[in-house]
Amino acid sequence: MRTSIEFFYAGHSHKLEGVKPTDMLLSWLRDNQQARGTKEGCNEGDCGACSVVLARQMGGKIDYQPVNACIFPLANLDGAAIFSVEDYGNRAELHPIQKAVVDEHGSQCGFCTPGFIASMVAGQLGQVEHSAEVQIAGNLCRCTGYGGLIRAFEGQRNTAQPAAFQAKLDAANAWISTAERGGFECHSEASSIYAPADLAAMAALRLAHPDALIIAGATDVGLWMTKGLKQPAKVILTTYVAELHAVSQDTAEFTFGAAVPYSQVGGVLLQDYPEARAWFERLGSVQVRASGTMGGNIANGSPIGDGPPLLIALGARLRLRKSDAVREIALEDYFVAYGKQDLAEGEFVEAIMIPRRQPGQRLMVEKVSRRIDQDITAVLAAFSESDDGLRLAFGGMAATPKLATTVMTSRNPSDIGQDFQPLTDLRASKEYRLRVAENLLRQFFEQEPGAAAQEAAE
Amino acid sequence: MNQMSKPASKPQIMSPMGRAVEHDSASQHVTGQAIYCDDIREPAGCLHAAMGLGPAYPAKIRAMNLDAVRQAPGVVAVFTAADIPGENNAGSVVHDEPLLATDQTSYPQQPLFVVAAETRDQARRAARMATFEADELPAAVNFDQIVERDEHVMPTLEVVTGDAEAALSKSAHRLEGRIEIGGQEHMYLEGQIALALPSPDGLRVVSSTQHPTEVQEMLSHLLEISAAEITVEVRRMGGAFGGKESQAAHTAMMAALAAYHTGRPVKLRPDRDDDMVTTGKRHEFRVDYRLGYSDDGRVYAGTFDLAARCGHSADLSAAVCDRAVFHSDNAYFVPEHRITSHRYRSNTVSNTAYRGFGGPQGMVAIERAMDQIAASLGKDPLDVRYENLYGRHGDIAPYGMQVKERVLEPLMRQLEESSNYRQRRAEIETANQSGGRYRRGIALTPVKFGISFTISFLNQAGALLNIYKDGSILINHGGTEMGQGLYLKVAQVVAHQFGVPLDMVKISATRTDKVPNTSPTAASSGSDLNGMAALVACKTLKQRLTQYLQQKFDTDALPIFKDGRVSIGFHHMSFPELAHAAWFARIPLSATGHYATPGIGWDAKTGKGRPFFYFAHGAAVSEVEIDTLTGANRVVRADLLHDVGQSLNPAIDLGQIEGAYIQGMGWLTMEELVYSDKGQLLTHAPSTYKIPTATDRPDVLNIALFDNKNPEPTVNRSKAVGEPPFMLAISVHSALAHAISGLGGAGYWPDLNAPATAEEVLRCLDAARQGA
Repeated sequence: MRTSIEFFYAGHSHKLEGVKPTDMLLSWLRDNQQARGTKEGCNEGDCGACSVVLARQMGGKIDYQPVNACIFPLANLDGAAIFSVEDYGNRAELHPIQKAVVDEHGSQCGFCTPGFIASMVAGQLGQVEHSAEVQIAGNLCRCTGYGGLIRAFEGQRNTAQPAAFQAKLDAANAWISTAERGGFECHSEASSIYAPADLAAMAALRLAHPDALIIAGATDVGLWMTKGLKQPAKVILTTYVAELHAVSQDTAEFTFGAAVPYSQVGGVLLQDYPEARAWFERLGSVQVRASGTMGGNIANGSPIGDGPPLLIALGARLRLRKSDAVREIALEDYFVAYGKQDLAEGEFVEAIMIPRRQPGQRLMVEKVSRRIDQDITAVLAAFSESDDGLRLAFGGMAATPKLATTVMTSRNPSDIGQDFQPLTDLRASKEYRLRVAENLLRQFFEQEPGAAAQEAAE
Repeated sequence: MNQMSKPASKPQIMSPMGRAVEHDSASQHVTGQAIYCDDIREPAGCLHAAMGLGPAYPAKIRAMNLDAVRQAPGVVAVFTAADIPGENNAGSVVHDEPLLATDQTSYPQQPLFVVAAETRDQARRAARMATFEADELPAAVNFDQIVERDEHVMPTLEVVTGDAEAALSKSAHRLEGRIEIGGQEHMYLEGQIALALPSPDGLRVVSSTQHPTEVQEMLSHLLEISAAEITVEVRRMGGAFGGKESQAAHTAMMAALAAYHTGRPVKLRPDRDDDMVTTGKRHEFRVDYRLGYSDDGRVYAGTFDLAARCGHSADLSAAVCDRAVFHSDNAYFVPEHRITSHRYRSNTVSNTAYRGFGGPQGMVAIERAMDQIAASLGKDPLDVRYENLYGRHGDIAPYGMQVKERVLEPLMRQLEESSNYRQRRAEIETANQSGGRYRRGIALTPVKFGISFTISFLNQAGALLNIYKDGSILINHGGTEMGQGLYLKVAQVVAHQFGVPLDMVKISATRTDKVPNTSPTAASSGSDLNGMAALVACKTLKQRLTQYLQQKFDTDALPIFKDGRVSIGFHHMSFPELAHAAWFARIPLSATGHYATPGIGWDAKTGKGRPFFYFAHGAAVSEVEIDTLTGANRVVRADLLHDVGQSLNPAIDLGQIEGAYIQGMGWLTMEELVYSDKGQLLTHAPSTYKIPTATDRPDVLNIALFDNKNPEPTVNRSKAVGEPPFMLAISVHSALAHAISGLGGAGYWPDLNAPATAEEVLRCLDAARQGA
């Protein structure tokens, strides 16, 4: 068993022993490598100042994504490569994105700039099709109004990589193609990290260490460590479990392994449910979707996760595994109470099954939050009606994501208060949550069949 | 070898004055080579500090147990107020705020101690290990509570002109209203930070500060060492927006205290959450207003009561609230007026400077009132605004200053035309009548913003100019660079004076040992003051060089500095040749410059005088869309036209205008600070406090500079640009109210507060539906 991790950065591989769960990529870059072009703005994955480009093997090819280094555990980097602002170009020969940002006056104080460059370079490498605004929505700039940054990306999105950077990319790709991914254990005085490479090993480790914290993309658990200063003693990573990365579809359903990052979900799910595009693009940011997983979003049990309400509305089921035993439950049944899920000791989420679209199915998904992008939801409403019946799911309205069962029967939006007694918190008042839920239900019931799909298509 | 390489493209523009030159650090920004305080390699033995925060409520502290903190791994020392050799004071104007609280905290999580440890991680962990025996004290947080308790951090200011009450009672129409205006977190991307470097010769502190001189002074009082033994340095900040004007000193003082005792370098970079919890924000205001007006919408009288929530101490609140008073008229003549400003103490963190400095809060209320007048009379609000502009019926502001320039009416007319305001407004009103889930609104609002520190003595600046033998020029001044392009603008001024390419003028870090006794880089004054100080220094050296050349060539002719060359009579030489020759002739090639804004001053007792050198102007048309089901809203189009005088650098100025508008839009829409009923900030990180992202930028954003020259003798006849365009975003708030108003029937105008979050908009939509 390997006791080290290895990843590629700055032209060669780095092998690290004794990695702890709390060891984040940003600290390693800034303090260990003295690569201080990448900045810390918030230490919680919200501002994007620490964005770097991640290159990893995904679905048989190299997947390029920007990630927030501040909450990216080093232990999740095995077999991958990263590029930081020191890599793309230099002042003698700027990368085309860098030159465009200069020419478009896209920097003022400059502190956020390296993070923006990372998101834009990753967008180029990943040949993203969405707008520049979506690509950089996970990066905050407080000085400019984003105009120069947007123009810089739009002007350069299809430009070839400069030779010097291409050579670095090639070297990284060559290394990645032969690198091992997962199948290691890192032990230090205070902590143990288990990183199984296949499902059997995962199941065995889970059984042997029911007290271990399971970490996937760490977009939430990362904050427990950087903000809560938690030091988990025992951790199992889902990141390298091959079976948990499987995505498949048949005529009945889509199946997503629990460790599939959200970035891989959109392209599949939106084929059937184009109404969910805004939901998908507003779920975290590009960085968060690159790290965060659907399984983690569910297993975490948050009452305000953006994934579960839509998935519940669509009738998704969970496959849970304990050793060799597998069971399937409706997603809504997984959430028992705040902080409590239907998960036995030694059990874990293996996959999420989402039914394919039915003819005539109506779907409406609405996220209500203070800001459009990358904001924690106040209310998430997902409504589906098909031959299988009416499903009205909400997040942010109760201690768990939940169906509005009373309204599902009565079809009366005014009954929403019988289904939910939401809380007032820093995101919204209980009155507002109820009012919005009622308004959206009314809209759904009053809407012409087919109108929702048409609106989404526009 | 990146650091040694030459920049890719350096503009070779012979006279850079007025040109759209890129930011001097742009190529460093994009390559990650621009060094901020945290990027400096720590010297060997450098310690890292963290703040120890008090209970989550204001408290009487009976006992503080720091044993666990002291014993935590890596901890070298822990410091409390008892360890301060000099004065335990963090209040820059009034000494009413301890750096480290002792037996009482006056707001939740007020710092009580400082930990210094070998690593930052160790310091952060240790800082959380303190335990307290504490009794909770009553907290006054919201406006009802602070007005009821009625404690003031600074005296009330009342500015009176005429007899407002009598004039109100005679007016054909009267309206009264109340608006609550939320605060704003600066959310500079680079948080507060300082690196203190002690030596036997004194203390050097690298601080992310807008006000190095004040940091120096505060350190001097804290440690009881003279200012001459302290050097404060800042090359650049990663944003500031006012948040590093007075309160950057706190971080520097804590780091310096630890360095003073340990003799080791100490860096303090609070985590973002600690930064947000312990540093002040834009002041919240509640404005109660009354206006009397005629059938044609002309205002005859008004009373404005401005209640400000200042936090637990004075900080800069007096000046912030003064500026709110001076801008509560915005662009409008109110012949008989009474403006009252109360500065309330609250059990929250001490509010501080923030771009606009009270001006924005002052303006929001009267813009709402203009809309209300228009609604009540069935007029287009733009016509009511025109009717009341200074110059139409009078030009003396309530504080006695004459508003001379007649910029706003032509500016607004031009914008009205270019944005097609009238037609779009008509189309929107028609479309809104047909119902539907989404409604639109549009508004055109002006900005008139007074330029100068209202604390008159701050209106001075110094510069140090060195010409080296090789002809390269180094300029230093008291201004600090926070992204606004000040260094570049001043370099442009200097390059223009000597007729040399911009890349011959170097700019280096702002340091108190180079230019002493400086004012903060604030009040949009950076280039006005420092540009002029640099100009004075340039003229001194040009004078010396001229004398030298005239003697050498025995002529009375004046030399011409142009295209990197100097010509006098028939003699020509390159600028480097001149520099070398002048040095050889023992001409001193270093000079200082000093500038003090002429002719300003006012009486703080009566609030009368001339607080401002001039006014900057602008106007904006914003079009918004609201979701009537959720209250969600966004700006779909904005057209901005702004008066920067004769621009020193249009690219920089356009960037300031765009950024200010978006920041103002955030303040008035999505940025909501939420406090607990104990005064604890609950939105203490970007996860919960939301500033605009790229997707919040309007789909269409047209920005233009108004063709103007400053009538006052500023550098290049330019105007200040940092703050004024922030208030262009008031048009967003007004447009949101317009979108809502249609649901309320004729004459209806919503009492939309700020920020107009989705929840606030939905509240008003429901009220409008019920009121209709």
